[in-house]
Amino acid sequence: MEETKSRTISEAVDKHADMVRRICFLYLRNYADVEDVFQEVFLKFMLYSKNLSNENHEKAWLCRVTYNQCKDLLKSTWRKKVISIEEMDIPYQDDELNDFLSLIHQLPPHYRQVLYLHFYEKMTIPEIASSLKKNTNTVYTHLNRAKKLLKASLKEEYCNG
Amino acid sequence: MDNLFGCLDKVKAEETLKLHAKEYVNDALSNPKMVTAANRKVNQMKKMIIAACAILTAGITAIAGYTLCETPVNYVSLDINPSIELGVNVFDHVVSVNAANQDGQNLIDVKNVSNLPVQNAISELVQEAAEQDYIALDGSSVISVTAESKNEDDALKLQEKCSNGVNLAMSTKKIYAAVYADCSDLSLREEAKGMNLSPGKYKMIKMLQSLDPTIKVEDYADVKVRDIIRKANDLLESGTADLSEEEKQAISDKIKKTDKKAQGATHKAKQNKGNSGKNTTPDSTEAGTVTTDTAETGVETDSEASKAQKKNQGNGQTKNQKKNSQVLTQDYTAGTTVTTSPQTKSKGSATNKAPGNKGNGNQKASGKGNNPNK
Repeated sequence: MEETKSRTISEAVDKHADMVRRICFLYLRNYADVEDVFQEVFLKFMLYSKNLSNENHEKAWLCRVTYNQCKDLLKSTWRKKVISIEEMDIPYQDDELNDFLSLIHQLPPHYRQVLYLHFYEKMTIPEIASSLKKNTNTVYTHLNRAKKLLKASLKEEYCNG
Repeated sequence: MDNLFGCLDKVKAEETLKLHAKEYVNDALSNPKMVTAANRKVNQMKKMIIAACAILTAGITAIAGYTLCETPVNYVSLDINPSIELGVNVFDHVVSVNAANQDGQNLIDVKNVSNLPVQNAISELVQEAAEQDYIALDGSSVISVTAESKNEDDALKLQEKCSNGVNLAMSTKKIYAAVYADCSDLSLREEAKGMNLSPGKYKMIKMLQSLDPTIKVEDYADVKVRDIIRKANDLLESGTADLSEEEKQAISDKIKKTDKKAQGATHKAKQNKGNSGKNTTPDSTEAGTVTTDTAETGVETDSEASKAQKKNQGNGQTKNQKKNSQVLTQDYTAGTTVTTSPQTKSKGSATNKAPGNKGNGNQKASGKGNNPNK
């Protein structure tokens, strides 16, 4: 029984770890925070996964829970007085990723999730709306505004060289 | 945009991260306390939500209850010359007090009747009116109470309470006056407000207008109730009123008796003044007589006046005098009470029951129309 459970935990982590890690990447810069969120998300997944009907449902559920955990952590971090940017770990040494990171972090948090799910996970607007428990029109609006902001940031970066 | 997000392919979960996560989840699931703690958070949230809903419901109920208690649903109009309107809630307690004229304002400035049962409030106001000399010592005043409600039964019950309040005040203060009690629909209140009058007085002036259409409401706005009653009586007696016989009879039944009783009250007041040296508590001497009469008729009778008349007019008319006084008090339409003396027995308030009271034989009395005082 224990072995079956372990296999299930192991399978779940291996299957979805990368996706969870990417979502944490969009919101968190501190590795310790990433670890906290990672562990909490998978513990909840193991506790509540019986209610999830299929793989798409699982994926949508994980996206939402990870996003909410990151949000909650950021809120609590603010209350504890945020550590200065110099003390934060930079997750990656890759320049492309760092540039992307600096771009994406200029956007409001709820825009980042929509952009990621649409452009990377290739989810449709209704699927994103279902995943995030939001109105479809809201998702459309967020996506349009996020794209405009991102374009403006890219343009500025290009002009500044 | 796709190329931009393509760089996310490089983002992978580190092996140490995955390992730590697996270990953490394994430990948590094998430790029931941790699982319970995770569940407890959810339960706590549910409990907080339920508690919040309960508090909200209690708050809304409290506000609704408070609003119900503080909202007037019926109104009572007290008119002597001071005119006051009392707003009454579902429990027949006063929740609003408004004066329709300066005299009324003088009363309510001194007497705060808010939150009192309507009967006590009326009693207090009438007593204060007596204190401030708005009720004539000669007994000629007429005190009008009008109950306004959407529901006729509620109006009648309220009217009865108000009449009791007036009678209570008169017996407390040992004053004499005629009481004119009536009830009406709430729609009349709106019309009266437009004319800056109390509904009770407005209804009486409308009644005058039905007898003489040339009468203007403004002309009688500041006139005492007693004088309005007299004017109505004069118009009826002059025979100039352009009304059907039924309508005339209906008004006559109300007005004439009130006028007569006002005269009776004057007489009693004079008598009481004359007897004040011999009998400081007229009520106690009358008690026995009133009881007898009420036992016969169930209605308080004008026993003191009939006694005085017996002395003046001789013994042969004793029985007739009794009959006449019975007819006088029984012969009134629904919703009207006529009393002249301070109430000694509570059965006196049976005058309010009289219109529908089978025991009094009202219908017979009015059918006979035997009123020699006319």
